Amino acid sequence: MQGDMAITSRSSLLGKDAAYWGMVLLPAVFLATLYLVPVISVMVRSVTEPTLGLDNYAVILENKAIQNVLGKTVYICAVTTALTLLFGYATAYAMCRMPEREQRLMFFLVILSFWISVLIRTFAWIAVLQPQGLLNDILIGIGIIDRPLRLVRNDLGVIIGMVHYMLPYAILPLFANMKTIDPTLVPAARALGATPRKAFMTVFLPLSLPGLAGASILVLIFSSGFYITPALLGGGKVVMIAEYISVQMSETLKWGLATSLATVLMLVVLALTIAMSRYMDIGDTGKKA
Amino acid sequence: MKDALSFESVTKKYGEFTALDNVSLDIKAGEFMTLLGPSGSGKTTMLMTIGGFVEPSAGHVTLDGQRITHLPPENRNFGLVFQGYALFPHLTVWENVFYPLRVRGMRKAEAEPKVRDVLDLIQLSHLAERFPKQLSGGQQQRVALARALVFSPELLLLDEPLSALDRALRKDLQRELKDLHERVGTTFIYVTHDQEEALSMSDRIAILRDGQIEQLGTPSQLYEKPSSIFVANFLGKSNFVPVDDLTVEGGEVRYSVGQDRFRLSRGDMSIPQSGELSLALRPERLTLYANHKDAPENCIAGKVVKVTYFGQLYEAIVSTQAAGDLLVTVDLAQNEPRIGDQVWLGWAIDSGVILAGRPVESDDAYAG
Repeated sequence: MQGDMAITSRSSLLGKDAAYWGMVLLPAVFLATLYLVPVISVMVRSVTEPTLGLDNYAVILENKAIQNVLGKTVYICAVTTALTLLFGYATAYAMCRMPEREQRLMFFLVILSFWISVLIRTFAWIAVLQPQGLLNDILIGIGIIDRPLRLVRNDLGVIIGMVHYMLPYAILPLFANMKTIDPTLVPAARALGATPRKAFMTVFLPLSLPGLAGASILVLIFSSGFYITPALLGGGKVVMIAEYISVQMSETLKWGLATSLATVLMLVVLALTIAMSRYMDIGDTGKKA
Repeated sequence: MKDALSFESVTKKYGEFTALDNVSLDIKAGEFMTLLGPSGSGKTTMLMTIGGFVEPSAGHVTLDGQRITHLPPENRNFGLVFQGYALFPHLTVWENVFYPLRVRGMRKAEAEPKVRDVLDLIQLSHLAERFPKQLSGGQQQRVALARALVFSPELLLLDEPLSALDRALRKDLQRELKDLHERVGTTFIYVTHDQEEALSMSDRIAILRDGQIEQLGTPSQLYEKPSSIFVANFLGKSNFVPVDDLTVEGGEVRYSVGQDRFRLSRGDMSIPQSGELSLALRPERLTLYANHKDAPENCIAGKVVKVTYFGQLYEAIVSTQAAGDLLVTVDLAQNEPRIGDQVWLGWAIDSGVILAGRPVESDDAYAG
């Protein structure tokens, strides 16, 4: 009798499992055919085109122009990530301390920027930042400067546009993480003798590291693949890796070089993800269940 | 005994809401003072004002005669134990207890004996390397205590520290806390809404209501001689009998309930004499008698309508003509009361307190 029951419950468990596997089957097939296959074909092309071997990778290591593009990409990504995390952290921190109503409004405002396409936003930034643009007009108008500042068609313009685009991607994971930090911990640290600064450095900051790791990985990965923003706000002077790859594909038709650069980019992102994910799951942040 | 901490006419307003209304209180050095009240009565605001997290709208807080009203929390040197313990989840037990010493610039080697001592005091030395989430609720509570005591604070503030624990554990920790208070000799200021906790642990209790201190005194003073229906109701159970007529003759009070007349020796009580009056009678001050001749002078006839068994005692509800339903506790040495018994309820002439006002329906201690 007992044995029968055990068997019944086990088989129903198996049935449930099968149902769950069924649910992931469709997305799995979809991803495999439309995502995994192309990625593998990119990797294969990088070592077969135009001839079999690692020639393309040798070019990457030797070619000065490519190294400049890679260097620029690393530089822009690093500055963008650092600024985005700084502003995102401050915003998320402030949001955590707001009353419920204001918090919801802020949340809405952060999400709002997702509604506007990156192309429109980029052109808007050009309108704001160009020499005869809104910002320069205002600054000259109130007499702070007498000649327009060069705010666009350079690194600065690209970074402004990218930070603006990436901010919600930093704010949301940071905010989600900070909400899980027990709000009595900082007052407790104060009561135990810590100044506000020290309480933040020794308690709040360490506990927000998982959110910071999550946000930084998201921003870094996204920004390494930026294409439209640097192309438009850089005015052709700031070439990042994604744009360079695109040029190799569609204009110079060096598919082998393009795919090998794409492979390098992918491996770097993968390595970063693995490295950062170690910090993302330190678990309990002190919130009561 | 000298005063450690004083409230001088402290008021705290949040917009239209008055959380503390002109509160004055002197807390003596070394005493176990409990702030007791229902939620919203201002007890936590009071504690957070002492801790430095709430700035009074008016009035002052003084420590040993020095005004500390605007001193930030980190400069007060008070230990504070939060309701949810607020242990730092990224630090081990040892590091949590070391924290207050660390922010005071002490090095690990220097702090080691102090941390050891206080961990020994709470008997958790063997768990020093654990993280808070690996501990039980009671253990976390003790770590929070150790952390608040390790820097020899001038006061220890406790904000409902036992409310998250189950009943049996709470009893144990009440005893431990009381014991700890005697051993370390620090002034404890304890916030709770649990009257039993307050009665069993405190040297003195301040009962708060709507941002004011309703009554201040030792547990027995508050329990035996409540000054208002609110206090009588909040601490333990009480019967309230409407008093129809009352006269004071020297040390004696005569009062009537319906047709029945009773006597009360006044002692040092102040007796309100105008407006509506009630007699507050504790259930354990009432005794059941089968015959009128056995009953004392103050007695009233009634019928048992309900009996509940509690292990160490019975609780019976006796329905009377003049005084309505009265709750009475009957210990096991007496005969078990039975529903339908015609009985006499008697009480001594020094039992009961005359209070102003009548209880509102929902205040009825045993209803519902």
